[in-house]
Amino acid sequence: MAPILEVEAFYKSFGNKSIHEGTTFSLSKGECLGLLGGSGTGKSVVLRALIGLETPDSGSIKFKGDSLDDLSEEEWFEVRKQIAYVFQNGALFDSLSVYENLAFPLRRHTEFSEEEIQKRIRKILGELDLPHAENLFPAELSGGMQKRVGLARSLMLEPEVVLFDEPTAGLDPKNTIVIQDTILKLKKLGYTSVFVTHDMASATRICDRIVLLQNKKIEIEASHDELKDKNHPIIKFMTGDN
Amino acid sequence: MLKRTLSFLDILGECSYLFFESLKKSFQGKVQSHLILDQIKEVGINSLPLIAITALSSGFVMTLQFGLGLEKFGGKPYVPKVMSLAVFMELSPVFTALMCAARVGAGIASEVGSMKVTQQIDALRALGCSPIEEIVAPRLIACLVSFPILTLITSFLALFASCVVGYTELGLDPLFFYQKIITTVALREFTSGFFKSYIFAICVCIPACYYGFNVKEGTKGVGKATTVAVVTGSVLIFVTDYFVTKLYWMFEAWRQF
Repeated sequence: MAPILEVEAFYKSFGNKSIHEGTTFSLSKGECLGLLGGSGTGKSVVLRALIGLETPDSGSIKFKGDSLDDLSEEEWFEVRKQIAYVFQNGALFDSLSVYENLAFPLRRHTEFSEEEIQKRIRKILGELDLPHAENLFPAELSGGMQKRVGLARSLMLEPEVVLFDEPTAGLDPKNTIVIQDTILKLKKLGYTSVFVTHDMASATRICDRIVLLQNKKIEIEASHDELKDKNHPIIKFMTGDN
Repeated sequence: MLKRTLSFLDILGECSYLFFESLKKSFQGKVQSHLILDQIKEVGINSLPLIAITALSSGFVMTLQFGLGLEKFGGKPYVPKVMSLAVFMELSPVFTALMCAARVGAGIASEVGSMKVTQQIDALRALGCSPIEEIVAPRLIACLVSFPILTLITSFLALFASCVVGYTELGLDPLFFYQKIITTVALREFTSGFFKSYIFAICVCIPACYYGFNVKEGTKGVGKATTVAVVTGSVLIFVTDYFVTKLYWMFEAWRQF
Protein backbone atom coordinates (compact mmCIF):
# COMPACT_ATOMS: atom_id res chain seq x y z
CA MET A 1 0.00 0.00 0.00
CA ALA A 2 1.32 3.47 -0.87
CA PRO A 3 2.32 5.46 2.21
CA ILE A 4 -0.04 8.25 3.29
CA LEU A 5 2.78 10.33 4.82
CA GLU A 6 6.43 10.29 3.79
CA VAL A 7 9.35 12.18 5.29
CA GLU A 8 12.49 11.96 3.18
CA ALA A 9 15.99 13.20 4.17
CA PHE A 10 14.63 15.82 6.57
CA TYR A 11 17.23 18.37 7.72
CA LYS A 12 16.53 21.07 10.28
CA SER A 13 18.72 23.31 12.40
CA PHE A 14 18.09 26.27 14.70
CA GLY A 15 20.99 28.73 14.41
CA ASN A 16 24.16 26.68 14.66
CA LYS A 17 22.40 23.77 16.35
CA SER A 18 21.56 20.96 13.99
CA ILE A 19 18.54 18.89 15.09
CA HIS A 20 17.80 16.63 12.13
CA GLU A 21 20.29 15.31 9.61
CA GLY A 22 18.46 13.12 7.16
CA THR A 23 15.49 11.85 9.16
CA THR A 24 13.44 9.52 6.96
CA PHE A 25 10.26 7.59 7.68
CA SER A 26 6.86 6.88 6.23
CA LEU A 27 3.54 5.55 7.40
CA SER A 28 0.70 3.71 5.75
CA LYS A 29 -2.99 4.47 5.97
CA GLY A 30 -4.47 3.27 9.27
CA GLU A 31 -1.07 2.78 10.87
CA CYS A 32 -0.03 4.20 14.24
CA LEU A 33 3.65 5.14 14.31
CA GLY A 34 5.41 5.81 17.61
CA LEU A 35 8.20 8.39 17.45
CA LEU A 36 10.51 7.97 20.42
CA GLY A 37 13.72 9.67 21.45
CA GLY A 38 15.42 11.52 24.27
CA SER A 39 14.65 15.13 25.16
CA GLY A 40 15.84 17.63 22.56
CA THR A 41 16.15 15.07 19.78
CA GLY A 42 13.60 16.99 17.68
CA LYS A 43 10.57 14.70 17.89
CA SER A 44 8.16 17.62 18.09
CA VAL A 45 10.11 19.52 15.41
CA VAL A 46 9.49 16.85 12.79
CA LEU A 47 5.87 16.53 13.93
CA ARG A 48 5.34 20.30 13.55
CA ALA A 49 6.96 20.15 10.10
CA LEU A 50 4.31 17.63 9.03
CA ILE A 51 1.68 20.37 9.26
CA GLY A 52 3.88 23.26 8.18
CA LEU A 53 4.45 24.82 11.61
CA GLU A 54 8.19 24.34 10.98
CA THR A 55 9.93 24.62 7.62
CA PRO A 56 12.60 22.01 6.84
CA ASP A 57 16.02 23.29 5.77
CA SER A 58 16.00 20.56 3.16
CA GLY A 59 14.28 17.26 2.46
CA SER A 60 10.77 16.52 1.41
CA ILE A 61 7.44 15.70 3.01
CA LYS A 62 4.66 14.07 1.03
CA PHE A 63 1.00 13.60 1.95
CA LYS A 64 -0.96 11.09 -0.14
CA GLY A 65 1.81 11.27 -2.73
CA ASP A 66 1.67 15.07 -3.09
CA SER A 67 4.66 17.11 -2.04
CA LEU A 68 4.09 19.55 0.82
CA ASP A 69 7.30 21.43 0.04
CA ASP A 70 6.92 25.09 -0.90
CA LEU A 71 3.21 25.26 -0.07
CA SER A 72 1.87 28.74 0.63
CA GLU A 73 0.21 29.38 4.02
CA GLU A 74 -3.20 29.34 2.29
CA GLU A 75 -2.43 25.92 0.76
CA TRP A 76 -1.31 24.62 4.16
CA PHE A 77 -4.71 25.59 5.61
CA GLU A 78 -6.32 22.97 3.34
CA VAL A 79 -3.77 20.29 4.30
CA ARG A 80 -4.30 21.04 8.01
CA LYS A 81 -7.98 20.17 7.72
CA GLN A 82 -6.84 16.63 6.89
CA ILE A 83 -3.89 16.37 9.28
CA ALA A 84 -4.76 17.28 12.85
CA TYR A 85 -2.25 18.16 15.55
CA VAL A 86 -2.82 17.44 19.23
CA PHE A 87 -0.66 19.83 21.26
CA GLN A 88 1.16 18.67 24.37
CA ASN A 89 -0.69 21.10 26.66
CA GLY A 90 -3.93 21.21 24.68
CA ALA A 91 -3.30 24.80 23.43
CA LEU A 92 -6.94 25.67 24.05
CA PHE A 93 -8.15 29.19 23.30
CA ASP A 94 -8.35 30.55 26.82
CA SER A 95 -10.94 33.22 26.06
CA LEU A 96 -13.40 30.59 24.81
CA SER A 97 -15.34 27.97 26.76
CA VAL A 98 -14.81 24.26 26.09
CA TYR A 99 -17.93 24.28 23.90
CA GLU A 100 -16.70 27.29 21.91
CA ASN A 101 -13.25 25.71 21.54
CA LEU A 102 -14.80 22.59 20.06
CA ALA A 103 -17.23 24.52 17.89
CA PHE A 104 -14.43 26.73 16.53
CA PRO A 105 -13.15 24.45 13.71
CA LEU A 106 -16.70 23.43 12.73
CA ARG A 107 -17.91 27.02 12.50
CA ARG A 108 -14.86 28.07 10.48
CA HIS A 109 -14.76 25.18 8.02
CA THR A 110 -18.19 23.58 7.75
CA GLU A 111 -21.74 24.61 7.00
CA PHE A 112 -23.19 22.60 9.90
CA SER A 113 -26.20 24.02 11.71
CA GLU A 114 -25.84 24.94 15.39
CA GLU A 115 -27.92 21.85 16.29
CA GLU A 116 -25.54 19.60 14.37
CA ILE A 117 -22.52 21.28 15.99
CA GLN A 118 -24.05 20.84 19.44
CA LYS A 119 -24.80 17.17 18.73
CA ARG A 120 -21.23 16.48 17.62
CA ILE A 121 -19.71 18.32 20.58
CA ARG A 122 -21.88 16.49 23.13
CA LYS A 123 -21.04 13.14 21.49
CA ILE A 124 -17.28 13.67 21.60
CA LEU A 125 -17.37 15.10 25.13
CA GLY A 126 -19.25 12.00 26.23
CA GLU A 127 -16.72 9.71 24.56
CA LEU A 128 -13.86 11.51 26.30
CA ASP A 129 -15.54 11.37 29.70
CA LEU A 130 -16.07 15.15 29.81
CA PRO A 131 -19.86 15.44 29.75
CA HIS A 132 -20.10 18.34 32.21
CA ALA A 133 -17.21 20.40 30.90
CA GLU A 134 -18.82 22.22 27.99
CA ASN A 135 -19.43 25.51 29.81
CA LEU A 136 -16.09 25.56 31.62
CA PHE A 137 -13.16 27.69 30.51
CA PRO A 138 -9.68 26.20 29.97
CA ALA A 139 -8.37 27.81 33.17
CA GLU A 140 -10.99 25.84 35.12
CA LEU A 141 -9.85 22.47 33.73
CA SER A 142 -7.18 20.14 35.06
CA GLY A 143 -4.15 19.36 32.87
CA GLY A 144 -5.63 16.00 31.89
CA MET A 145 -8.98 17.54 30.96
CA GLN A 146 -7.24 20.22 28.89
CA LYS A 147 -5.41 17.51 26.95
CA ARG A 148 -8.64 15.62 26.34
CA VAL A 149 -10.43 18.76 25.15
CA GLY A 150 -7.43 19.54 22.90
CA LEU A 151 -7.71 16.02 21.49
CA ALA A 152 -11.46 16.44 20.98
CA ARG A 153 -10.96 19.77 19.17
CA SER A 154 -8.42 18.27 16.79
CA LEU A 155 -10.88 15.49 15.87
CA MET A 156 -13.86 17.77 15.16
CA LEU A 157 -13.08 18.02 11.43
CA GLU A 158 -12.61 14.24 11.18
CA PRO A 159 -9.07 14.40 9.79
CA GLU A 160 -7.33 11.50 8.07
CA VAL A 161 -4.12 11.75 10.10
CA VAL A 162 -3.72 12.75 13.74
CA LEU A 163 -0.35 13.87 15.12
CA PHE A 164 -0.05 13.44 18.89
CA ASP A 165 2.63 15.46 20.67
CA GLU A 166 3.23 13.66 23.97
CA PRO A 167 -0.48 13.23 24.76
CA THR A 168 0.12 11.24 27.95
CA ALA A 169 3.00 13.32 29.38
CA GLY A 170 2.36 14.42 32.95
CA LEU A 171 -0.97 12.58 33.25
CA ASP A 172 -2.17 10.40 36.10
CA PRO A 173 -2.78 6.68 35.28
CA LYS A 174 -6.56 7.16 34.86
CA ASN A 175 -6.19 10.00 32.35
CA THR A 176 -3.39 8.13 30.57
CA ILE A 177 -5.72 5.18 30.05
CA VAL A 178 -8.54 7.45 28.79
CA ILE A 179 -6.16 8.96 26.21
CA GLN A 180 -4.75 5.55 25.25
CA ASP A 181 -8.25 4.10 24.83
CA THR A 182 -9.30 7.06 22.68
CA ILE A 183 -6.29 6.62 20.41
CA LEU A 184 -6.97 2.88 20.16
CA LYS A 185 -10.60 3.65 19.28
CA LEU A 186 -9.40 6.02 16.57
CA LYS A 187 -7.12 3.30 15.26
CA LYS A 188 -10.06 0.94 14.97
CA LEU A 189 -11.95 3.62 13.06
CA GLY A 190 -9.09 3.68 10.54
CA TYR A 191 -7.33 6.90 11.57
CA THR A 192 -3.63 7.15 10.76
CA SER A 193 -1.54 8.61 13.56
CA VAL A 194 1.95 9.61 14.66
CA PHE A 195 2.50 9.37 18.39
CA VAL A 196 5.44 11.29 19.87
CA THR A 197 6.16 10.14 23.39
CA HIS A 198 8.59 9.24 26.16
CA ASP A 199 6.00 6.86 27.57
CA MET A 200 7.14 3.38 26.53
CA ALA A 201 4.09 1.66 28.04
CA SER A 202 1.69 3.80 26.00
CA ALA A 203 3.78 3.41 22.85
CA THR A 204 3.89 -0.38 23.08
CA ARG A 205 0.16 -0.58 23.83
CA ILE A 206 -0.91 1.73 21.00
CA CYS A 207 1.63 1.78 18.18
CA ASP A 208 1.93 -0.66 15.29
CA ARG A 209 5.52 0.40 14.72
CA ILE A 210 8.04 2.43 16.70
CA VAL A 211 11.02 4.42 15.44
CA LEU A 212 13.78 5.82 17.63
CA LEU A 213 15.27 9.24 16.91
CA GLN A 214 18.93 9.18 17.81
CA ASN A 215 22.01 11.00 16.52
CA LYS A 216 19.82 13.42 14.53
CA LYS A 217 18.09 10.74 12.50
CA ILE A 218 16.02 7.59 12.82
CA GLU A 219 18.41 4.81 13.71
CA ILE A 220 16.25 1.96 14.93
CA GLU A 221 12.81 0.77 13.92
CA ALA A 222 10.69 -1.99 15.40
CA SER A 223 7.28 -3.51 14.87
CA HIS A 224 4.83 -4.00 17.75
CA ASP A 225 5.73 -7.71 17.95
CA GLU A 226 9.48 -7.11 17.92
CA LEU A 227 9.13 -4.94 21.01
CA LYS A 228 7.97 -7.91 23.03
CA ASP A 229 11.66 -8.86 23.18
CA LYS A 230 13.01 -7.14 26.32
CA ASN A 231 16.48 -7.05 24.76
CA HIS A 232 15.39 -4.99 21.77
CA PRO A 233 17.61 -1.86 21.46
CA ILE A 234 14.57 0.45 21.66
CA ILE A 235 13.41 -1.14 24.92
CA LYS A 236 16.95 -0.92 26.27
CA PHE A 237 17.22 2.73 25.22
CA MET A 238 13.90 3.74 26.77
CA THR A 239 14.62 1.93 30.02
CA GLY A 240 18.10 3.48 30.16
CA ASP A 241 19.66 0.06 29.90
CA ASN A 242 21.83 0.62 26.82
CA MET B 1 24.99 49.38 12.70
CA LEU B 2 24.31 47.28 9.60
CA LYS B 3 22.72 44.60 11.76
CA ARG B 4 20.42 47.17 13.40
CA THR B 5 19.45 48.64 10.04
CA LEU B 6 18.64 45.18 8.69
CA SER B 7 16.65 44.37 11.81
CA PHE B 8 14.71 47.66 11.47
CA LEU B 9 13.98 46.91 7.81
CA ASP B 10 12.88 43.42 8.78
CA ILE B 11 10.41 44.79 11.35
CA LEU B 12 9.17 47.38 8.85
CA GLY B 13 8.66 44.67 6.24
CA GLU B 14 6.77 42.38 8.61
CA CYS B 15 4.59 45.24 9.89
CA SER B 16 3.78 46.25 6.31
CA TYR B 17 2.90 42.62 5.54
CA LEU B 18 0.58 42.44 8.57
CA PHE B 19 -1.07 45.73 7.57
CA PHE B 20 -1.62 44.97 3.89
CA GLU B 21 -2.67 41.35 4.51
CA SER B 22 -5.19 42.56 7.10
CA LEU B 23 -6.56 45.09 4.62
CA LYS B 24 -6.73 42.41 1.93
CA LYS B 25 -8.56 39.96 4.19
CA SER B 26 -10.94 42.72 5.30
CA PHE B 27 -11.81 43.72 1.73
CA GLN B 28 -12.25 40.05 0.82
CA GLY B 29 -14.84 39.83 3.62
CA LYS B 30 -12.93 37.06 5.39
CA VAL B 31 -13.00 38.71 8.80
CA GLN B 32 -15.79 37.52 11.10
CA SER B 33 -18.08 40.38 12.11
CA HIS B 34 -18.48 39.17 15.72
CA LEU B 35 -14.71 39.37 16.18
CA ILE B 36 -14.74 42.97 14.94
CA LEU B 37 -17.62 43.88 17.26
CA ASP B 38 -15.84 42.29 20.25
CA GLN B 39 -12.76 44.34 19.48
CA ILE B 40 -14.73 47.56 18.95
CA LYS B 41 -16.14 47.04 22.45
CA GLU B 42 -12.64 46.45 23.81
CA VAL B 43 -10.86 49.23 21.91
CA GLY B 44 -13.62 51.81 21.69
CA ILE B 45 -16.24 51.46 24.40
CA ASN B 46 -13.90 50.27 27.16
CA SER B 47 -11.51 53.16 26.42
CA LEU B 48 -14.20 55.79 26.97
CA PRO B 49 -13.61 56.45 30.70
CA LEU B 50 -9.88 56.93 30.17
CA ILE B 51 -10.47 59.12 27.12
CA ALA B 52 -13.05 61.22 28.99
CA ILE B 53 -10.70 61.88 31.92
CA THR B 54 -7.86 62.77 29.55
CA ALA B 55 -10.06 65.07 27.47
CA LEU B 56 -11.53 66.92 30.43
CA SER B 57 -8.18 67.30 32.20
CA SER B 58 -6.37 68.55 29.13
CA GLY B 59 -9.23 70.93 28.34
CA PHE B 60 -9.11 72.38 31.87
CA VAL B 61 -5.32 72.74 32.00
CA MET B 62 -4.75 74.08 28.50
CA THR B 63 -7.46 76.72 28.85
CA LEU B 64 -6.04 77.84 32.16
CA GLN B 65 -2.52 78.05 30.71
CA PHE B 66 -3.60 79.87 27.54
CA GLY B 67 -6.04 82.14 29.39
CA LEU B 68 -3.67 83.25 32.14
CA GLY B 69 -0.76 83.50 29.71
CA LEU B 70 -2.62 85.54 27.11
CA GLU B 71 -4.32 87.73 29.75
CA LYS B 72 -1.03 89.62 30.25
CA PHE B 73 -1.16 90.73 26.61
CA GLY B 74 -4.91 91.30 26.50
CA GLY B 75 -5.37 88.18 24.47
CA LYS B 76 -7.97 86.49 26.65
CA PRO B 77 -10.73 86.67 23.98
CA TYR B 78 -8.53 84.59 21.69
CA VAL B 79 -8.67 81.62 24.06
CA PRO B 80 -11.69 79.92 22.36
CA LYS B 81 -10.10 80.33 18.94
CA VAL B 82 -6.71 79.01 20.03
CA MET B 83 -8.25 76.17 22.02
CA SER B 84 -10.59 75.01 19.29
CA LEU B 85 -7.82 74.91 16.68
CA ALA B 86 -5.40 73.21 19.08
CA VAL B 87 -8.00 70.68 20.18
CA PHE B 88 -9.33 69.69 16.76
CA MET B 89 -6.02 69.69 14.90
CA GLU B 90 -3.54 68.47 17.49
CA LEU B 91 -4.52 67.74 21.06
CA SER B 92 -7.45 65.38 20.51
CA PRO B 93 -5.92 63.07 17.92
CA VAL B 94 -2.55 62.94 19.70
CA PHE B 95 -3.81 62.59 23.27
CA THR B 96 -6.44 60.03 22.25
CA ALA B 97 -3.85 58.00 20.35
CA LEU B 98 -1.33 58.18 23.20
CA MET B 99 -3.90 56.98 25.72
CA CYS B 100 -4.92 54.20 23.33
CA ALA B 101 -1.27 53.28 22.74
CA ALA B 102 -0.98 52.75 26.48
CA ARG B 103 -4.29 50.92 26.98
CA VAL B 104 -5.09 49.26 23.66
CA GLY B 105 -1.51 48.74 22.40
CA ALA B 106 -0.45 47.13 25.67
CA GLY B 107 -3.60 45.00 25.69
CA ILE B 108 -3.08 43.75 22.15
CA ALA B 109 0.64 43.00 22.61
CA SER B 110 0.15 41.14 25.89
CA GLU B 111 -2.89 39.18 24.65
CA VAL B 112 -1.24 38.15 21.37
CA GLY B 113 2.05 37.47 23.19
CA SER B 114 0.30 35.20 25.71
CA MET B 115 -1.43 33.37 22.86
CA LYS B 116 1.96 32.85 21.24
CA VAL B 117 3.57 31.55 24.44
CA THR B 118 0.72 29.11 25.12
CA GLN B 119 0.78 27.86 21.49
CA GLN B 120 -2.72 29.21 20.79
CA ILE B 121 -1.46 30.88 17.61
CA ASP B 122 0.06 27.57 16.48
CA ALA B 123 -3.27 25.93 17.35
CA LEU B 124 -5.09 28.45 15.15
CA ARG B 125 -2.79 27.64 12.24
CA ALA B 126 -3.05 23.91 12.95
CA LEU B 127 -6.85 24.21 12.72
CA GLY B 128 -6.48 25.68 9.23
CA CYS B 129 -7.18 29.29 10.27
CA SER B 130 -5.19 32.40 9.52
CA PRO B 131 -3.92 34.35 12.56
CA ILE B 132 -4.16 37.51 10.44
CA GLU B 133 -7.88 36.91 9.80
CA GLU B 134 -8.58 35.92 13.39
CA ILE B 135 -6.31 38.25 15.34
CA VAL B 136 -4.81 41.17 13.39
CA ALA B 137 -7.58 42.21 10.99
CA PRO B 138 -10.39 42.44 13.61
CA ARG B 139 -8.15 44.56 15.86
CA LEU B 140 -7.03 46.79 13.00
CA ILE B 141 -10.61 47.37 11.83
CA ALA B 142 -11.71 48.04 15.42
CA CYS B 143 -8.91 50.60 15.85
CA LEU B 144 -9.73 52.24 12.49
CA VAL B 145 -13.38 52.53 13.53
CA SER B 146 -12.83 53.50 17.17
CA PHE B 147 -9.93 55.97 17.03
CA PRO B 148 -11.76 58.64 14.95
CA ILE B 149 -14.87 58.35 17.12
CA LEU B 150 -12.81 58.56 20.31
CA THR B 151 -10.97 61.55 18.84
CA LEU B 152 -14.27 63.25 18.14
CA ILE B 153 -15.48 62.57 21.69
CA THR B 154 -12.18 63.88 23.09
CA SER B 155 -12.56 67.07 21.02
CA PHE B 156 -16.05 67.82 22.30
CA LEU B 157 -15.23 66.97 25.92
CA ALA B 158 -12.00 69.02 25.85
CA LEU B 159 -13.86 72.03 24.43
CA PHE B 160 -16.62 71.58 26.98
CA ALA B 161 -13.99 71.58 29.76
CA SER B 162 -12.37 74.60 28.13
CA CYS B 163 -15.70 76.42 28.10
CA VAL B 164 -16.24 75.62 31.80
CA VAL B 165 -12.79 76.95 32.80
CA GLY B 166 -13.24 79.90 30.43
CA TYR B 167 -16.41 80.84 32.29
CA THR B 168 -15.35 80.09 35.87
CA GLU B 169 -11.69 81.18 35.79
CA LEU B 170 -11.42 83.64 32.91
CA GLY B 171 -14.90 85.13 32.93
CA LEU B 172 -15.57 84.29 29.27
CA ASP B 173 -19.23 84.04 28.31
CA PRO B 174 -20.11 80.45 27.21
CA LEU B 175 -22.15 81.78 24.27
CA PHE B 176 -19.17 83.85 23.10
CA PHE B 177 -16.99 80.76 23.54
CA TYR B 178 -19.37 78.66 21.48
CA GLN B 179 -19.68 81.24 18.68
CA LYS B 180 -15.90 81.59 18.42
CA ILE B 181 -15.48 77.82 18.12
CA ILE B 182 -18.13 77.62 15.39
CA THR B 183 -16.57 80.45 13.36
CA THR B 184 -12.99 79.18 13.81
CA VAL B 185 -13.26 75.49 13.05
CA ALA B 186 -13.84 74.81 9.37
CA LEU B 187 -14.17 71.41 7.76
CA ARG B 188 -10.46 71.26 6.89
CA GLU B 189 -9.35 71.72 10.56
CA PHE B 190 -11.84 69.09 11.54
CA THR B 191 -10.75 66.59 8.87
CA SER B 192 -7.06 67.17 9.59
CA GLY B 193 -7.44 65.75 13.11
CA PHE B 194 -9.78 63.06 11.87
CA PHE B 195 -7.28 61.93 9.22
CA LYS B 196 -4.51 61.79 11.82
CA SER B 197 -6.55 59.45 13.98
CA TYR B 198 -6.63 56.84 11.18
CA ILE B 199 -2.85 56.99 10.83
CA PHE B 200 -2.42 56.73 14.62
CA ALA B 201 -4.77 53.72 14.73
CA ILE B 202 -2.39 51.88 12.38
CA CYS B 203 0.66 53.08 14.40
CA VAL B 204 -0.79 51.60 17.61
CA CYS B 205 -2.35 48.37 16.33
CA ILE B 206 0.18 46.95 13.87
CA PRO B 207 3.37 47.20 16.02
CA ALA B 208 1.40 45.80 19.00
CA CYS B 209 0.37 42.77 16.93
CA TYR B 210 3.88 42.41 15.50
CA TYR B 211 5.59 42.42 18.90
CA GLY B 212 2.94 40.06 20.28
CA PHE B 213 3.54 37.58 17.46
CA ASN B 214 7.30 37.75 18.00
CA VAL B 215 7.44 37.01 21.73
CA LYS B 216 10.36 34.69 22.37
CA GLU B 217 11.20 34.30 26.04
CA GLY B 218 7.99 33.04 27.63
CA THR B 219 6.17 35.27 30.11
CA LYS B 220 9.20 37.55 30.45
CA GLY B 221 9.02 38.06 26.71
CA VAL B 222 5.33 39.01 26.97
CA GLY B 223 6.23 41.84 29.38
CA LYS B 224 9.05 42.97 27.12
CA ALA B 225 6.83 42.89 24.03
CA THR B 226 4.15 44.93 25.80
CA THR B 227 6.65 47.62 26.80
CA VAL B 228 8.19 47.78 23.33
CA ALA B 229 4.74 47.93 21.70
CA VAL B 230 3.67 50.89 23.85
CA VAL B 231 6.95 52.75 23.35
CA THR B 232 6.96 52.09 19.59
CA GLY B 233 3.32 53.12 19.24
CA SER B 234 3.90 56.36 21.19
CA VAL B 235 7.06 57.28 19.27
CA LEU B 236 5.36 56.54 15.95
CA ILE B 237 2.44 58.80 16.95
CA PHE B 238 4.81 61.75 17.52
CA VAL B 239 6.90 61.09 14.42
CA THR B 240 3.98 60.57 12.04
CA ASP B 241 2.18 63.56 13.59
CA TYR B 242 4.96 65.83 12.35
CA PHE B 243 4.85 64.43 8.83
CA VAL B 244 1.05 64.43 8.59
CA THR B 245 0.95 68.04 9.85
CA LYS B 246 3.63 69.01 7.33
CA LEU B 247 1.64 67.27 4.61
CA TYR B 248 -1.50 69.13 5.67
CA TRP B 249 0.18 72.54 5.42
CA MET B 250 1.79 71.65 2.08
CA PHE B 251 -1.67 70.70 0.83
CA GLU B 252 -3.10 73.97 2.19
CA ALA B 253 -0.35 75.99 0.46
CA TRP B 254 -0.97 74.12 -2.80
CA ARG B 255 -4.74 74.69 -2.50
CA GLN B 256 -4.31 78.43 -1.96
CA PHE B 257 -1.77 78.68 -4.78
